[in-house]
Amino acid sequence: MTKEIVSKNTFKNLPPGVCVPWEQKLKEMGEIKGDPDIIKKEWEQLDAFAYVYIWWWVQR
Amino acid sequence: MAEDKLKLYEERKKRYLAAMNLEKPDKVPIRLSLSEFVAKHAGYTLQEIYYELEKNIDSINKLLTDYDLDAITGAPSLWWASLHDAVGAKYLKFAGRELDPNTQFQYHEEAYMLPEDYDAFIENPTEWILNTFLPRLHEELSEPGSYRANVSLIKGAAGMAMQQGMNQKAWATWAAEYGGVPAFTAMSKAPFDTLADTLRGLSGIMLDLYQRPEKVKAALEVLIPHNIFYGMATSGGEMEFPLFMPLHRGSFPFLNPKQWAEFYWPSLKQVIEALWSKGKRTLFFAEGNWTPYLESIAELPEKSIVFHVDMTDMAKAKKILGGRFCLSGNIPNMMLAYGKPEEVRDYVKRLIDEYAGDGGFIIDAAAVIQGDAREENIRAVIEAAREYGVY
Repeated sequence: MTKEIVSKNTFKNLPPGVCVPWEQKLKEMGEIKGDPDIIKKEWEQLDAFAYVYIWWWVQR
Repeated sequence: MAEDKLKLYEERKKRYLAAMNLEKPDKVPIRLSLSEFVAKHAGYTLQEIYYELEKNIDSINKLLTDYDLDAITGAPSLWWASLHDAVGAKYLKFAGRELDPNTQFQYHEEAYMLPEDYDAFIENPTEWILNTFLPRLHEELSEPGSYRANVSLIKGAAGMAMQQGMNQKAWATWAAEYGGVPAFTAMSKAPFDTLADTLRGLSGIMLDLYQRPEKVKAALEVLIPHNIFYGMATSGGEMEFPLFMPLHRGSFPFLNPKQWAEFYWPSLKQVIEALWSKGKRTLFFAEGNWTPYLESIAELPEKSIVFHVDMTDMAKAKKILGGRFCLSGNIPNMMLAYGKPEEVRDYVKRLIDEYAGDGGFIIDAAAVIQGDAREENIRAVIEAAREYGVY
């Protein structure tokens, strides 16, 4: 039917609405000089949009 | 919003919400689940509404100008064919490309998820969908990391945002200029349908029920919070109108009652109860025949669903679910396509006489109204509902 495209998952047991958890990104960002909550909120908002896009192809 | 249209919007909304809350509004609300019929009415080909968002949206302007509807289901085509071309999605075939310009879209079902994918899916479904499912489904993504694949991801996400943005703007216009009220404002699915529709397909899931039932149950368990989240995310915070849940494989006899009770119902019940606990009602769009399951459905919290009747026994639905949930539907689509207006009028009158007396009833066709419905029959539904549906 289709070519085999199986990759190992990067994350396990992620909650709904999350593609790349903020906690992971926070570790990679290093020092945050301003308010981390602003950055977290915006990260999670766009992450949720990506999540909905991915699931949109399944939820029909 | 013009004063008269605002008044009309509020009247219709009040009528629609009252019925869903099991109250008796001034009139039986009319909510027609119209799809391809709308294109025909507006003079557009199906290719035009599938491919051109502006025409898909404009067709509703014409509908709202000509017909007195209390709630509408939105632009007739859910799927933007151009976006599907951009990513090379294989499961839908559209008018004007693979099909004649006026042929209804077709769903090409395959088991895009293989039996050996269950473990990865259960571990992280979001990542599995992106890394494994989409490259199988989207021809443009068949070589992940390639130029074509990267471009298709950009186009796909941008396309979804464009479509959602245009739809939101359209809803504001329909409300302000036509008094148009949404029939629903979110979408989700039964977990079993998520697994059995686009992922494993009917033939795949039927084998799984016998060969790997525990994997199926584990996947359904994983899907429950995702389907709750998806419903709430697509609602955008709107809580007055219901969430649309088209129900597929739970129709009798896709599954036998034992399979239904074991595999279909528990996860669906949890999704609906969770949505209701958050304040979101479900439009339980029971496609096909759900008669054997009415007693189980009655276990749901009062008013948590609107039970839509397609081929379910209407009298039994009223007896078992009436007074607990609002009922809708049941006008046969075959009658709308091939019947005469007098037959339609008689059917609508009988529905109102027998099932709408206590309130909690919404006029609609049994299933989504496609291009085969006749104009005079749609008009007959509305005229009869307005004539006989006054409380």
